[in-house]
Amino acid sequence: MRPPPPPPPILRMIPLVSDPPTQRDLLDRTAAGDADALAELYRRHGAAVHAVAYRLTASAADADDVLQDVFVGLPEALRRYDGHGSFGGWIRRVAARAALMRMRRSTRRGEVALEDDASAAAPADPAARVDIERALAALAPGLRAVFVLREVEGYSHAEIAGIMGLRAGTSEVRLHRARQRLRELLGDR
Amino acid sequence: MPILHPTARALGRHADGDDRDPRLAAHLLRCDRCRRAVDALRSPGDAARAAAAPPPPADALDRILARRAAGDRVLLPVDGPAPAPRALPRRAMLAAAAVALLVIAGALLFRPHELEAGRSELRLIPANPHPGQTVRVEYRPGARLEHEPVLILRAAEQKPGADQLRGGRVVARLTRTAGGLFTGSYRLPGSIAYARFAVEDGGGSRVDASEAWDVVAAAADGRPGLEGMKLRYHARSFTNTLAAARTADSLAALYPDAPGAWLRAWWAASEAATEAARDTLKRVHRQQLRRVGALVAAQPRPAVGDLADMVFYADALDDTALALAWRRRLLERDSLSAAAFQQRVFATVERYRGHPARELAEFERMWSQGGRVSPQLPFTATQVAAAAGDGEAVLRWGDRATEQDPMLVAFATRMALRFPAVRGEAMERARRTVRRLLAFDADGRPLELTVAEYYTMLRQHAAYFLGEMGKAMAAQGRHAAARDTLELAMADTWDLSIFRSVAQARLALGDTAGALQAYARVAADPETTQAFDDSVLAAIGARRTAREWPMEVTRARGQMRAWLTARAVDRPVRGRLLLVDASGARREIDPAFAGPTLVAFWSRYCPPSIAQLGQLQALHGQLTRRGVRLVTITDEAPSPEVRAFLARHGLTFPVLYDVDRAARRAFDNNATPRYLLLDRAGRIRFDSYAPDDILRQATVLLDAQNTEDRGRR
Repeated sequence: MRPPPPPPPILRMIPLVSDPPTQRDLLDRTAAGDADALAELYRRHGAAVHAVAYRLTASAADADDVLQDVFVGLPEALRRYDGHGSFGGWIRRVAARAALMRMRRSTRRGEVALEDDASAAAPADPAARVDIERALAALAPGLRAVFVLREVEGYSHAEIAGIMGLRAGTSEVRLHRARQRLRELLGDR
Repeated sequence: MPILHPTARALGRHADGDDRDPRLAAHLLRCDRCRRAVDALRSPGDAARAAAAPPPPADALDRILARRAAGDRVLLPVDGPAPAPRALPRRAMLAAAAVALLVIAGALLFRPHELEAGRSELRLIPANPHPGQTVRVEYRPGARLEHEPVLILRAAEQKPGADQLRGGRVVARLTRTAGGLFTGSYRLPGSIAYARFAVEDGGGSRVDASEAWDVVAAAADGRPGLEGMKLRYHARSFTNTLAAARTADSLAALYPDAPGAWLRAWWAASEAATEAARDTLKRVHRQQLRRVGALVAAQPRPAVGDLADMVFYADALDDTALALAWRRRLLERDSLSAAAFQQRVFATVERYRGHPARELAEFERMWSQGGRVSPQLPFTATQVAAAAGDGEAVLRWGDRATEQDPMLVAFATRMALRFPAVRGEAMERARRTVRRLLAFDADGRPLELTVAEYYTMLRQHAAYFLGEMGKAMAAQGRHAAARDTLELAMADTWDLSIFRSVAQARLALGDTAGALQAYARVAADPETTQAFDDSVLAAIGARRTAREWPMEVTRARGQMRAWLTARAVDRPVRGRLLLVDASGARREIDPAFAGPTLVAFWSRYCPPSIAQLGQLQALHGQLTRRGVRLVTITDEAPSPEVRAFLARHGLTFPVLYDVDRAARRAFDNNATPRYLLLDRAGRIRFDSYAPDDILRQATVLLDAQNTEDRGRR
């Protein structure tokens, strides 16, 4: 062990105690391409983004893909974030849109139907009580999306209409149908 | 009368939170059936809210960062509804895809940092690996290495408590993937706390290095490890104090209870502070000193490192009594640890100041007790022995220092060569040093140097020792041996003191013509004054030398030119030099000028750069008088702080500010200090990291210019 080097000749005042970086600072740095800042935002919001994506897609693989896409695209997307409202709310909304896009792409590939609730997969034994997760997974994607956005994420029907490109009335109707279907699936009849 | 129940939709709206209908609310108060229906409608929502979503995959962040580093970008649906699917004809889809690609490519092309042509990037994923973990390495080359098929990753690795970064070793091969990205992997050895990296071509002829390319080994809890962060701070404090300050900042944030973190925060911040702010700063740090001190004191068996940091921290804050108390605590905790021996060395120096014999006796006692665990002991003892004029002790302690740290051999040999009583043995050590240097130990190559630069550096180091040996031999009256040794040194250095010694040795051997040639080299140097010529003429005999001297000086000037030209480069300046002057006005510098131009990059955050600013100031006058333009460039925007810095250091040369990094790109430069000497056509002809040869180099360019002009006439 050598004696520690003499105090380096810093010629700039630096803050004595570093506060954790502010959200604004993190957003600016992320938008500028700073990977450390992006990682910090992930640590703060990654779980919430993943949760929204998982509830909407009802698929761990799709949720992971959405999570990836949201954070890979975040630095560029932040240039369109105007700073109004909480960033957490904004990024969850972006995640919801990304998840819905993904579900629509799946629809086009013929995997699931987002708009047509008639094709909702029912559990093998309709009488069986299934837990909420399986029930949600069994719900038609279009119904599940409205249900999750309204019941879990707490958006108004007007906001859901904005996110999903629907009329507010359609959102209400879908929510009602989703609830009824879930009651059936959960055995609350 | 039958009860009229609300519709299912009305109940649904109520379950959804819409309670504006008073009749419905009144009905629900009376009707159990409808209340149960509403509860049932609400229950899936309650259950869904209560259900926890699974956590994201553990490696999700690594994959995100890897995709970003690989240039992957995603356009996110930020505004408005997610677009509904539309059936597009196949051709229209392809056209849309092409447009989208162009838009994305355009967005990427015009991202600010992408504008920096030639800038490279090294990513290590994860950035804080656990000891023993394999790190994914991704390197996006700049202009310097972009055409290589395979690249080499070298690492300089440090164990906890190591004092400074040594040379690097080859740790990985990076292979090119689609898109021009190079990838490979590196396993962080379990014993390593901190590592820094550089990338180079297979032959080590082009090197790309940055102080920011490093990893800190993670602690068990996933934080960047404390020891690794301390090493990062020390590594950066030698090269970039601003980066070091940021590291100290993070260190204190990551380890708010570690005295080592606050000690470094104080080192980093104290010099930056004005006198008035320094008092406040010190007050706040004294509070921290007490706080972290209480935490350390509360531990039944505190870490030796924490105790040592407490000693340094108390000392740095001028609390001598507290420093002594912590020193006692450290010695009680483990008196045979390296940190304890280091403190005992300091205590001995304080106690016996002015009595070197007693200091040396105490040091011997410590050595016999196991003091070899601390390099501090032989290092300090060698200096004390030298101050005491005890050649034998210098030799003995110098050997011990070298035994512990082979890098100290140059220090030990240099010290020993000063003492005539042990000169023979010191020369033997110098010979060994020269042999070791010229063995070109590949692993000793510093990360930033190419193989050729490293060999040149080693030859120059060897030339220094050969020069010292030759001078020592001359002092012993061994003139022939001195001459031969000094002539070996002459081949690898342009050192005026060696030329003088060669001349004297030759004169002593009766070789007047040879002496004249060596003296002519001194006279040919642009810094030598006419008085030297006169003294040579007087010493050798004016009658004989009057005829030969001018010819010899001209010849020596030619040798100097040849020596420098062999180390010259010839490259263009790439791109426009758009800079900002002190008033904030934009200025474009034309690399071509009436005469040579010295472009000097400097930074007030770079200790080596600051150390050379005095030399640069002296060069300012010398160059201007000779018709050489001086362009000094710093890496920040003009500010009152920069002006105050210049005034404080008495610097009057003009400064331009590389606000847009145009100069860094134009010269492909990431370093300070850096000196680029341009010929009058604006091509880079000399490139160096120290200003020692600038005047000579400028003279070579001016001579060439004069010869060209004469040819034209």
